[in-house]
Amino acid sequence: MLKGWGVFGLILGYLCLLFLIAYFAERRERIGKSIVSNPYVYSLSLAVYCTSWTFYGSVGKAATSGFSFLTIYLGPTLMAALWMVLLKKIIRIARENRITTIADFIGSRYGNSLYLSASVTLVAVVGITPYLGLQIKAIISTLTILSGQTQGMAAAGWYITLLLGIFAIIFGARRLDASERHEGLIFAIAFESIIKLLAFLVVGFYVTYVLFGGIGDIFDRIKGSAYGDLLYLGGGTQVSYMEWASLLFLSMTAIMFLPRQFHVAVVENSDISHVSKAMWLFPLYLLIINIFVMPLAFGGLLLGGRQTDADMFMLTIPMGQGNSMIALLTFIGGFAAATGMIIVESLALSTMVMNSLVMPAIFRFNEMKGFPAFILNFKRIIILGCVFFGYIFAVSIGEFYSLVDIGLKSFEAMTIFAPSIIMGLYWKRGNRIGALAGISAGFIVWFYTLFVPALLKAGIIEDQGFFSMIFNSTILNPHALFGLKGLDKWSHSLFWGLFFNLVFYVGLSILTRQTPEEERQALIFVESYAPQTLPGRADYSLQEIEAVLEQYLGRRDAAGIVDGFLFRNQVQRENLSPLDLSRLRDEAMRILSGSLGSAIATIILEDKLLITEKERGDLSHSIKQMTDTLRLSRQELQEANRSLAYLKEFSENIIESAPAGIVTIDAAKRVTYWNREMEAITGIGRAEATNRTISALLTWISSSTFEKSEKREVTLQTPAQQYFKIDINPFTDPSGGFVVIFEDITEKRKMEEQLLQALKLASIGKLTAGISHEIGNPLASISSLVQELRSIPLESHSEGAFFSDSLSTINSHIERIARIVRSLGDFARISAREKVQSSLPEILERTISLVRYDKRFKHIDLLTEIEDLPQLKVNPDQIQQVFLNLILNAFDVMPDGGKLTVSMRKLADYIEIRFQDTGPGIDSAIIDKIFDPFFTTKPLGKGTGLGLSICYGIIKEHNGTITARSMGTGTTFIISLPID
Amino acid sequence: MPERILIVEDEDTLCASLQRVFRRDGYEADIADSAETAFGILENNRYDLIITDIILPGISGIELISRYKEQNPGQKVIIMTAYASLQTAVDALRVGASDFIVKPVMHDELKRMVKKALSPR
Repeated sequence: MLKGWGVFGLILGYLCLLFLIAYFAERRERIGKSIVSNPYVYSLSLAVYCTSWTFYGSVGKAATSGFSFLTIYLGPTLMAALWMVLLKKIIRIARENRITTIADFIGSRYGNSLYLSASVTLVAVVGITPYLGLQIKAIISTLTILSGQTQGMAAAGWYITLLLGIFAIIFGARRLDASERHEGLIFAIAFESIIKLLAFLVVGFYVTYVLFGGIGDIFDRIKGSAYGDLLYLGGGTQVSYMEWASLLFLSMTAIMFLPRQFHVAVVENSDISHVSKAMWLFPLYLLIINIFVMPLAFGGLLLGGRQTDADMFMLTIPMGQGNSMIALLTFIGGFAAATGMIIVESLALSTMVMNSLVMPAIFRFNEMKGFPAFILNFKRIIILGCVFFGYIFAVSIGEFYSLVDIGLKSFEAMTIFAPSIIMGLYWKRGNRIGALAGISAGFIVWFYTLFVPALLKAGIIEDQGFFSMIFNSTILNPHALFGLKGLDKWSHSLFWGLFFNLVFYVGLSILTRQTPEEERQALIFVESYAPQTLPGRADYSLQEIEAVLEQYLGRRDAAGIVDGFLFRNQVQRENLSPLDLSRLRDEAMRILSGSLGSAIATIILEDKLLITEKERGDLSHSIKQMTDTLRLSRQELQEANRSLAYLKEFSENIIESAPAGIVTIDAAKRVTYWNREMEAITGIGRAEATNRTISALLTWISSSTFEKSEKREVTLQTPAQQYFKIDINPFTDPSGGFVVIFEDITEKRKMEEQLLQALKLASIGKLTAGISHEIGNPLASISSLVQELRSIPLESHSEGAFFSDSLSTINSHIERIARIVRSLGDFARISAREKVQSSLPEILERTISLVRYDKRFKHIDLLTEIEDLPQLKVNPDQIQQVFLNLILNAFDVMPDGGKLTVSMRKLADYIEIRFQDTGPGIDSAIIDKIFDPFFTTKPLGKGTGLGLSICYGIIKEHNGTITARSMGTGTTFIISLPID
Repeated sequence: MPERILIVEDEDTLCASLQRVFRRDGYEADIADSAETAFGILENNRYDLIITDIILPGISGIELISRYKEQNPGQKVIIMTAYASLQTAVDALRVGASDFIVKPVMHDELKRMVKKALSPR
């Protein structure tokens, strides 16, 4: 067939193609057109899970144990369902903390513990080495089969291993920042996933449909053969249900915690949303690649292959048929599967070893020059070391086991991390000591029950002497620990490993205390808490941070990081706030974590936050409470808003329906509110009034009314003889303005005046009645006696004359008093008698005929000007009294004669009667008082001061008015009586 | 036979004075200081004329006249009052008083009224 060197050349060519593809992807990334950052490439890169174990081993497993090979793919499929929760959380935390390996992840979770990440690294290296060996074994085996010669194969394996190591270095360790994503690498891996899938499908199709008559044909044939048992679960396949369960669990943990899976799924994840699509794309890939596993296995058996050689059926079947092209394609597919795994795994392992083992060890020599270059070279050496470690395993132990056996050992090792990671993500109390103890216990069990037997089998440990004694004891038998028999080796190891792991992890976590740093990290992981939101200790200067970065990353990268930070945050180098500095320190720490591991980064940039973890817990609790309170108060606010709206409507209703005009004006005296009553009072609409100044709207209000910002009340008269009481209330609001309330008090004022007068009259009426009686009676007695005395004829002449004179004086005084008392009686009888239709001119005529005999009448020139008048319903006696009083008054003011004109005329709906004299007139100062009772201008004893008051009362009672006018000389009394 | 006059007046001085004045003029004048006393006197005596004040302690003069006149419609009455309201005058005339005089009374005026009241129509 092909010569060994020819195949070697093919391998080289393939690797070169891979490199070109990676280079292309990196170019695209650099120009900002990433072809990697999408869920499809992400899902394909996850398919790095399918190694040569899948490619060759599945067929081998199917040929020996039937369907149980499926567990390795059903486990990840089950796990994919949990990715939404679990993987996303891990990605978030890893990105937030710049975690690059699973060792870092566990170390960070438990207080940035160096010991823990070192332990994890050791476990991973030891646990994964068989897996790496498996790949190399597969390559060497296939190469041997393909070239058909065994000679020189050891050397070929050596060269190939070296080649793979170098290739892994080219892809993974060209630069230092391990947290930076390797788009080229990922694209190459995705490409390899396509190659291996295609190769597998081609071979599967070839065997199933070319060599046989389809899947049904193969299954029918195998049913009839000695291998019929393989079609059933349990039973003859030698795979118990317990083993199925264990294998499912193993593969479930493997898909999460295998270093290379963690690398592609978490570290190389460019967008967390890609996980959602990968959740079904990745299981789909697994389904497709497994379709032809059973037909291939059965086909191989049916073609006479032995079960022990079943691992190579993929290659031996086409070769046996002489189809070298398909064989070559198979080889390439298997090579792709193996190289993908080797490159990613060795990179992941080397990063782990570098960050968790090497860096802490050489940390103290960090003063040495050329440190960045040293780290990079060291990393390259470690990658090579990992690959060769695998090679050594492959050549020394690998030949004794099938591919699947080797792979499962590694899977089993990965379950050691499951408790610390999964519980660490959800249980805050899990601590460093617990994790350390759990992982150690798990590792010891794994090593003792799975690795030691492998060493025994390989003859590295001899089953004799001391070892023999232990291995054959009931308690410490590595195949039946503590006497537990009946389990297959995977279930057995898994049971005890997990048992001790969990017991130690949970037990010690409960029994021991966490350090503050552990508390903080637990919070960061469990609550996905982002610590950089709180300012840390900022006693680093920008220069110091830059210097630290320079020391580890080189001058160019350090400056790039600092400048990038300054640019992103739009801050100047010169004026960084403590918060900015703290952020920069966090950034530096994340970047250093990438290349040095978070434990070391923490030591370098010692991060002691200002507040303790308990305080931080309290803080986040109180923030939660505040949020709750805020939500509550928002509800209350809505409630308040509603009642406010109701209140507004309510008060507006009140204001609108108020019987008073209500206006609000602002500081510039512009109207802002104008209620309905105001519209009615002024006749000015609201729209018209709004925004105009109040003095422009109501001209009768002087603008000075609103000068002073104090509460007051003014009464103003409008040009239309309306009276308004205006209540001015300044707003307490500093922006100023007033509430002005207008009340039309015209009617009220009229009523008040009338009431006042009526009250005056009523009280005077009562008073006069009382006075008339109380004075009248004793006066009558005196008067009577005086009259008696005067009628007695006197003896002595001289004395008689005196007595007579005295009595006559007394009598005149009595008469004077009596006159006053009588006129009081006149006053009190005003409201008496009914009103009848009467003619005013007739009443006047009667009155004039009464006064005609008065001696003063002779000097008076009386004129009457009387129009044709309707009859009025009046009390004629009272009206006569009024006329009489007014005429007698006129006589009084014109003792030397004059002219009195009485006119009567009808005006609109009333009759006006004027009494105009030519007397001296009434002083304007007293003209308002002349209708008051007891007011008189006449000399003492001449008038009672009740005459005009009586007139006023009578006219009022007839719903009329009486007013007096005096213009210098003469007085005019004007009576208005309404026509009904 | 002298004509008989009953003066009903609670103001004792005035009452006594008027009694003297009318006796001096040859009338037979009796007095009562309240309407109740007057009723007692009137039970056993008849008078040609009753002169009464309106405001009396207890039953008013108007009431006295209106009740007495129910039995003796032809009784002649003159009413005196210190309270010269028109209403009282109207009331007085309504109960059938011959005349109405406002205090203080002028003897001459009263005598004239009495004479007029007692003179046969």
